[in-house]
Amino acid sequence: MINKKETNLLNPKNWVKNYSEQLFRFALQRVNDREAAKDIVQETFFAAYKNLENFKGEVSEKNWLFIILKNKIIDHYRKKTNQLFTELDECEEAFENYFDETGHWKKETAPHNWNADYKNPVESKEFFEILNKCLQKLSELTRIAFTLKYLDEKESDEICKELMISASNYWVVIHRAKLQLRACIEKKWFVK
Amino acid sequence: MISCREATLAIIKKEERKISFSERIKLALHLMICSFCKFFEKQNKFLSVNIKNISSEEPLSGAEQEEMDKKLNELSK
Repeated sequence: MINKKETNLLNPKNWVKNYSEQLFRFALQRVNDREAAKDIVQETFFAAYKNLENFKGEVSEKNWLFIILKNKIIDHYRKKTNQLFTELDECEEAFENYFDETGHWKKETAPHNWNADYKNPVESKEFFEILNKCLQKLSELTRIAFTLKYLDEKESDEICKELMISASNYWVVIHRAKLQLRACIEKKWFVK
Repeated sequence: MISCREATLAIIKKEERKISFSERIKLALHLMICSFCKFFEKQNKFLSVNIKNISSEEPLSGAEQEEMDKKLNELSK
C-alpha cells in the first residue's frame, strides 16, 4: 500500500532548481518590484525549510511552496499598506481633478469617445506598454488592490480583509484609480 | 439625480455586483442623460478586461538562482 508520505515528499536540495522560476514569476506579477519578488521567494524557501517537519504530505511539494509564497506576498502587502495609509488623506485632491464641486465632470477631464472596439481585448504590444506605464503611476496601495482584484480575481470583501482596510476605503482607492487610469490611457493612447 | 462622481462609483461597484437596487435605478437614470458617464462605463469595462492580460517579463537569471541556492544551503548546514 502506498503511504501518503511516499507520494508527496520534500526535497529541499532541488527547490531552487525546480521551483524558483515559477515562484518568482508569480511573485513578480504581484509585487511589481524585482528585488522584493526575489526576497519573497528566498524567504519562502527559508520558511519552508524551517517547517519541514510540519509538512504532512497532503499537498504536493509545489503546492505547499506556493501556499507559503502566497502568505509571504500578503505579508508584504500589509507592510506596504501600513506605510502608505496616509495617502488616503490626499484623496480628495485627486477627485477634484475630475469633478467640480457639484460632482459633475470637469470639462477638461471628462471622458471622450475613444472610437474603440470596447468589446474585444487589445492585442497591440504598444498598448500594454502604455497600460503598464499608466499603472506604474498609481500608488502602491492601488496597484496592490488592482492586483488582488484583477490578477487573483478576489472579491472586495476578501481584499479588505487581506489588506486590513475598510470597505469604504477600498472603494475610494479603486474609484480614484480607475479615474486616473482611464485619463492616462485616453491621453497616451487614444488621443495621441 | 445623482452626480457624475456618484455615478462613476456606482459603475465600479456594479462591476463587482456590490450595488443596491435603488442605486442601480439611479445609475440607469443618470446614464440616460449623461454621455460622459456612458463613455466612462464602457471604458471602465474595457480597462478591466485588458488589465488582466498584462504580463511581466525578465525571468530569474542563473546567477540569481545560484545565489538563492547558496543561501538555502547555508541554512541547512
